[in-house]
Amino acid sequence: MRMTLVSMLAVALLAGCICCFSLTRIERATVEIDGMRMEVLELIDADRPHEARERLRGMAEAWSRWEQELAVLVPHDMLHEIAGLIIEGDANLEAGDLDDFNRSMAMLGEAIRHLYEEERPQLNNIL
Amino acid sequence: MTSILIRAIILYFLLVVTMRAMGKRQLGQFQPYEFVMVMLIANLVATPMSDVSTPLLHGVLPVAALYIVHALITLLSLRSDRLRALISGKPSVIISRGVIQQKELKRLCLTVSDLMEGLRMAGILDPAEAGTAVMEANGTITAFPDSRRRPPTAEEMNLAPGYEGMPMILIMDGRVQIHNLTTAQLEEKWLDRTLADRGTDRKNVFLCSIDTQGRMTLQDREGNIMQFQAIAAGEVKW
Repeated sequence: MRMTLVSMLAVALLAGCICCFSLTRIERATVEIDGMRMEVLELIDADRPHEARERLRGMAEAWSRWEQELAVLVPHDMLHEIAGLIIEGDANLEAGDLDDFNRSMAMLGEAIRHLYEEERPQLNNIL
Repeated sequence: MTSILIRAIILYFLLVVTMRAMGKRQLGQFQPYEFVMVMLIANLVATPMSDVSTPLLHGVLPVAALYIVHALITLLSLRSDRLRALISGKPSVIISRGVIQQKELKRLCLTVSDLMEGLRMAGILDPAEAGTAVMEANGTITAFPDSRRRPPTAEEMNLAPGYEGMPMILIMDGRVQIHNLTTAQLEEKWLDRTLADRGTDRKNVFLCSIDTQGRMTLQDREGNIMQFQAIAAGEVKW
């Protein structure tokens, strides 16, 4: 009985730690990437497309690093979707297509938000 | 492909550890909440086992959650009879004093055919021979013959057969079971000597056991079986 109690508490503690770790890492990743996304949009609004592209490339690299870690915690299609939208945004910016670029950035923001919302322990996700 | 292979192995061991941690009962007769757990576990690990894009943790954590809930229910059931009755149910007597309890059968939605099947599985062919039958909480039927129709016990015949406990397996497939030998407080030298007296040795023995009456049974690799009194019944120490 004691062994069962101890093992139950140990497993519960470990599971709790994994859940907390997952939530904090995903939150940090999404805050960082979304912050960079907003910076890119501000640079575009300030008519500084060259710097915006540099920032976008930095975002792609940052996301590439985060992807390695988040692959253990999140389904890969969500990660690939975000990566795809960053690349799409870069391509649209390079082509000078601001409408498509804005659309890509909007969808990227939504995908990042969705990634975080899926991880949060909330009633929508439980039900 | 390699990833799927490795994930399957990891999840397999996870399941083995989890089922082992749940206890021996799960391998035999399930209580309802245990049955649910086993069914769920199989489904939970199926997707991460075969789909590399699903994180392994998406299989591990739900299994851990089920284990926690199962352990909690088990612990609380040990402490509370009411909770145990609520979760696992209570056994129901369906034959009492040789009389089939029709109301109980109806309450349990059991047909007479189900009852007959349960009796046969308990080794009772003729329902008239059943003295008591119980439907256990896990759905199995256990039945006992009427006292007039079962073989007499040694006590009823004023016999004293002595204690009948677990026989100790001393050699399995040529390998001495040191733990059992120690439990029986016997020595390897004594074992080797006993085997030598019988014209064999440990390597040539397929199975060797000793019962609580001190009788040794051994089968060698040629299929020869020997039974003899190895130690006096009074010298048996387990």
